[in-house]
Amino acid sequence: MKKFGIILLLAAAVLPAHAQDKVRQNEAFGFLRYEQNPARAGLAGAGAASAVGGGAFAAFGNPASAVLAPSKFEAVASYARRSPNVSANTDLSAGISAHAGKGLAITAAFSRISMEKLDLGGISYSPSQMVAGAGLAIALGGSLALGADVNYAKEQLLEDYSLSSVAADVTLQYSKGGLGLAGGVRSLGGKINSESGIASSLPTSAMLAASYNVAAGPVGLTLCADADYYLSGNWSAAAGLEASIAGTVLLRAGYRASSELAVTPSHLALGAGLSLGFATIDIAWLTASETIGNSLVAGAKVNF
Amino acid sequence: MSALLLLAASCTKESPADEPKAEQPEIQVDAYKAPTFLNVLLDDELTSLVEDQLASGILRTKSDALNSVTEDLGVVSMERLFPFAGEYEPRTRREGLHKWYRVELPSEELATTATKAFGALPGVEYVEEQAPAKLDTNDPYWSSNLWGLNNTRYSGFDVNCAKVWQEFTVGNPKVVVAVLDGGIDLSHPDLAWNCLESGHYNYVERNTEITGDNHGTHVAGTIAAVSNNGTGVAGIAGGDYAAGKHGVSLLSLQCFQTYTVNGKDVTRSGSFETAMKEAADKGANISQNSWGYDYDSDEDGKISNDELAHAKSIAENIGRSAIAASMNYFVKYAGCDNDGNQLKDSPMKGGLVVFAAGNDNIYYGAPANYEAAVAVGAMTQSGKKASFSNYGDWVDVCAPGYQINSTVPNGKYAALSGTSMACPHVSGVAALILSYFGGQGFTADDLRKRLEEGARDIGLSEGDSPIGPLVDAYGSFMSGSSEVPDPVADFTLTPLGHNVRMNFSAVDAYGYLILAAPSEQTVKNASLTNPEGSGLITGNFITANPEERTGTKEFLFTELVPDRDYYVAIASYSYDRRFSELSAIRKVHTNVNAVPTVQTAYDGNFTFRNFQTVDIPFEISDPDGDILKVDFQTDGRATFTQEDDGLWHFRLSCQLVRAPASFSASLVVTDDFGGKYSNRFNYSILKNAEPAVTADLPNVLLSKQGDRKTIELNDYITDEDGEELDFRITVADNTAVSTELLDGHLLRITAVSSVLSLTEVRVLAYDALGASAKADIRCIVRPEGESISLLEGRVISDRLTILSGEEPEKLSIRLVSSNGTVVFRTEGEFSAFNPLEIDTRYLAPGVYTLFVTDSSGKETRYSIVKR
Repeated sequence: MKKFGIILLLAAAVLPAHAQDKVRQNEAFGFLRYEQNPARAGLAGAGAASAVGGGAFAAFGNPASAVLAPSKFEAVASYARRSPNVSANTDLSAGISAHAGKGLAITAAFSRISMEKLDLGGISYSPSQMVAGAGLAIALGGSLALGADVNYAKEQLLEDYSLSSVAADVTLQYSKGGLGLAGGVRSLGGKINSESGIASSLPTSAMLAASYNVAAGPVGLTLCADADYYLSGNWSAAAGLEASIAGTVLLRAGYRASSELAVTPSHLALGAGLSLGFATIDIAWLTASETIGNSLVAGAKVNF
Repeated sequence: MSALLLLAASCTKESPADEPKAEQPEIQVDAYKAPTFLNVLLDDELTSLVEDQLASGILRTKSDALNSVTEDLGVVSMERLFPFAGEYEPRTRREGLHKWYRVELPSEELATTATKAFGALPGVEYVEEQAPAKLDTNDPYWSSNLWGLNNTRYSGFDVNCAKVWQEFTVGNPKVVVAVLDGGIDLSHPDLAWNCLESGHYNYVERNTEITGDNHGTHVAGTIAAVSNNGTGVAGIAGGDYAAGKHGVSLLSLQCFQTYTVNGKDVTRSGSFETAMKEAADKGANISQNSWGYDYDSDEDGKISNDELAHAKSIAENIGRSAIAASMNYFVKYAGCDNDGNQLKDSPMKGGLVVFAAGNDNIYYGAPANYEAAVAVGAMTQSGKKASFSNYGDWVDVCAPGYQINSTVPNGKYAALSGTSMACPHVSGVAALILSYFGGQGFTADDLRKRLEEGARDIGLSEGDSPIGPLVDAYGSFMSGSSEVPDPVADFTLTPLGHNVRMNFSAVDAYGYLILAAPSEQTVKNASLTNPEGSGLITGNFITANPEERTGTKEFLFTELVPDRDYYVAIASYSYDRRFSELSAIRKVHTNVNAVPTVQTAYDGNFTFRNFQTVDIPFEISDPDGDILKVDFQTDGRATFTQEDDGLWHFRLSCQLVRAPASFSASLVVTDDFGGKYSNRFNYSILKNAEPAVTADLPNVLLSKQGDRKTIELNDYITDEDGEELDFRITVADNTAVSTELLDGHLLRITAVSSVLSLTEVRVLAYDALGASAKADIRCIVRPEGESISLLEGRVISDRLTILSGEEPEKLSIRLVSSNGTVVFRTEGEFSAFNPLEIDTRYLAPGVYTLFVTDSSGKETRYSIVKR
C-alpha cells in the first residue's frame, strides 16, 4: 500500500489534472436481482404475479405467492450462465416450498454464484456470491396472501475482502381467476460500505406485478407485466407472454426495459419449457443486451 | 694608476684595541643554542610522496615511515634546502636539487641519532650533518700597504694586476661576484659604487636585510673596492672611479651573522648550499667562498688525530654532499637560461667557484677540495706558505693571505690574515679575466683554464705541503698560444634595421675583435689590446674550440644608432691576445629605426561576455631586434604580461567584473631609439544572460525495463551568451529510471523498473556565473507489452486512472458491473501524459469489467475489483 501511495503521489506530480469523470452511484449486491427462475427469465423477469413466479421460486421474487402454489411440496434447481460477454458467472440455485398447514407456506432458497478467475495484475482470484434465505407466506383469506422472506447475502470479492448483508422481501399477492396482482418491497436491507467511505444501498425497490391468464382450447396464454422502482431512482419494467400448448409445451418471450443504472439491464428474453405434470424443465436465453446477452438460465422443478 | 697604489699604501694604522666592529644584533636569552641541521637527500619516489605536505609546512606527510622518524625525533622543521626557484625551478629539479631537504633538530645532542634514523629510512639516499663552518681568518690587525696587489718589499710575490689595469681592463660591471660570507657593508664609501642595487640576501635571518660584517666586507674589498677614488684601498677589479668606470659588481649572500648573546659574541650560519645555488639564479658569474668546515670539535685550538680522521672523512665524501650538488649547479647554470644555454648578455656560460683551502695546516680542507672548486692556499709576503694554510695536491693555486689590508664596516679598514684573504685575490683576478675575455661563447672552463695556466710557479707546488702556483693576473692575460693568427681576409656588412650583421670567414684564431665607430679615424687609431675611443663599439667573438674555426661566422652589432654611417673592421687574436693586422675598414649605413610592431590574430571588437576568461596573445617585436619597453595601462582588471611562449597575453577574467562595464586601455611599446607603437582601445563586458528554457522538454514513455530515450538538452535550454551550460540532473524516484549525461548535454533516460512507474527528472542548467534555468521531464515506465496501464492497478478504491500511449488517441471507455449494468461510459482523446481519471468513490463495491476501445476498434478488457 505504501508503494501504491508513493506512486499515487508521483502520479499527482507527473500527470496533469484531467477533467475528472465521475461515476454515479449504483447499487451494491446486484446479484440479489438475478433471475434464478428459468420460466420468469424467459419472460425477461416478468411474471412475479403469475403462477410462473410462485412455488419454490417464490423465495427468489414474490414470497406471498408460495401459499398459492397448488402443490403441497415443490423443489427447484437451476443453473445459469450469465454475462459471458462481460464477466461470466455461474449461478447454481435451489429452493423448496411446502405448505405447512392451512393457509401457511414456508420457503427456503440458496444460490451460489461463482465468477471466472480474474487477472488482477499479479493477483488471480475467483470472486463469488451467495444468497441464502427463508420465507413464510400466509393466506389472508379470499384470494389474498402475504409473504415475507429474509435473505442473507454475501459477496467474496478477494481473498481478504468480503461483504455481507441481510435483505428482506415483503409482498402481497391477489389471485382470482386468471388475474394475478402482486406488490411489495424487495431487497429491503442495510447499506454496503466501501473503502471510499461511501455507502451503497442494496437494490431495494417497490415492486408491482400483474398477470392474466386465458385458455383457448389446448393453448393457454399468460400475459405478465412487472415493474420495479428502486430506491436509487432507477426503474425497470418487463412484459412477457407465455404460451402453453396442451399444458405441456411452454413457449415464452419477454422484454425488459430499464433505466441506465438499473441492476438488471434492458434485454430481450426467449424461453421454453416442458411440463410433465410433476416435473417441469425450463430454459431461457437472454439477448439484445451489450452486457448480459447470451446469458442462459435452465432449471427443473418437481412438485408433489 | 700609480697614484692609486700610493693611496692604498698610506692607510692609517690602528691598534688592535681600536679594531672596528660591525654593529651586530643583541639577543638576551638564558641559554642560547644554535639550531642543528641535517641535510637529507631523498630519492624520487619519496620526494614525490612528501613534497606537497612539506612545501605547505606540514610535517605529517603521506609517508608513515618518515612521519615516524620526524615525530620520534621531535623534528622542528623539514624544508627544501634549495627552495622553489620560480623561473629557474625547471633546471633546479632537473639537477635533482629539489630532493635535498634541511631538517632542523630540537637539539644538537640528537644529531647522531637523527643521522642514523634518517639514514635507515627507505627512500633516503644520503644524510649529512651540517658541519659547523668557520671563517678562515686569524688575528685581525693593520697592515700598511696592499702588498697583495703590488708587493714592493718582495718583488714578484703579488697577483700582478697593475699591468692588466693599464693594458686591458679594470673590471666590467657585467661581471657579478657573489660573496658567500658574512654580510658586506653595502654603504661603505669604498665599496658602495661597485655593489649591486638589489639581489642581496641574508640566509641567516632569511630576509633581504644585510648586516655588514668584518669578514664579508673585507673579502669584498679585495675583489672590488673602488679604485682610484682617493679613498681607502683598491680592489683587484674595482674599476676606475676617476674615469667613471665601474668595477665588477658585488652581490652579498650573507651566510654568517654574529649576535651578542648574554654579552658574548655568537655566530650563526645560514644555508651555504642554498646561497651557492641561488647565486646562479641571481645572475652571479663567480662564487667567492672564504669559509670551510670547523674540525676542531673540542675547540682546543688543535686538530687531534680523531679530528683529523673526521676531516679526512668529510673531504673524501664531499662529492655526495649538498654543497657539492649546489656547486655543480652553479658551475653548470650560472649565466645561463633554464636549458643551460648562455644568456645573451652574460659574459660567460657557467660559473666559477672559488674556495679558501682552510687554516688548520692540515692535508684536508672541505669543501675547497671538491673538484668543481678552485681551492686557494695562502702565501706570506715573502712568498712562503703561510703557516696556517691547509695544503695538498688538491690546492689549485695560492695567493697573498697574510696581513691583507681591506675594507671593514662603517667606512673603516683593517688587516686580516688567512686563506680567507687569499681566496678573494683569486676571485678578483678571475673577475678581471672575465671582464676582458667574457662574451658569447666564453665558458667557465675557458676562465678556469686561463686562471690556472696563467699562474706562476714560485716553488710552492711541490714538497710536503704544496699549495700550488701563485695566481698571476697578467700571466693569465698572456697565457696560451703565442702564434699570431691570420687576418680576416674579407667580410660583409648587412644593415638589419639599425643593427648590422657582419659575416666573415673564420681563420685559425682563438677570437676576433670587431670594431665599429662613426669615424673611420677612430677605428684606425684604436689599440687592439686596449681599444678605446670616442663612440668606439667593440665586440668579441670567441672560437675557443678549434673545430669551430672554419666556415662563415656571423656577428650582430646591436648598439648602433639608426640612420648613421659606421666604419667597421675586424682583427683576429690568439689565446694570449696577440692580434693579427686589422682588416680593411668598411663603411655601412644603418637604417632608420624601425618602429616596434604589435600583431595579433584576434579580430574581435573587445566586447566580451560576463562568463568569459579572455586570453588574447600579442606578438610584440622589433624589426631591428631592439630591446623594447612595453607599457600597458588600463582602468579595468585586464592584465598584459609576457609569458613563457614569448607572446604578450591580454588576460581578463570577466566573471570578476560586475557587468555591464566598459574600460579603456593603452598600449605603448618603445625601443631605445625613439621608435614607438601606441594604441588606445576600449574593452567592455556585457551583462550575463541567464539560461532559459526555449522549448518544453518532451515527456518520456518507456515501454519496458531497459528501454531508453536520449534528449539533446541544448535543443531546449539555451544561453543567449552562447556559453556551454553545465547540466545537472536529479531523479525523483531512481527506482523508476536512471539517467546519464553524455558529453555534458545528451540526457539518456533508461527504465530501471519492470512495473508501472512514474517519476520526474529535473534538469538544472547553470552558466559559468551560476545563473540557472530548470525544466522537468515527466517519465512513465510501463511493463513490457502493456499498451494501456491502470495507474491504481486492478483493485481500486477512489480513483481509476487509465494511461494509454505516448501520443494522444481517441478511446472509448465502458465500465460494466458484474450484473451487466454499464456504470460509466465515455469517449475522448487521452494519452499516457493526459490520462482519463475516473472518480470511483460512489461506485458500489463489486467486480467490474473495464472496456477500452481504441480508434482502430481494438478492444481491451480489464477486470477491476472495487473495494
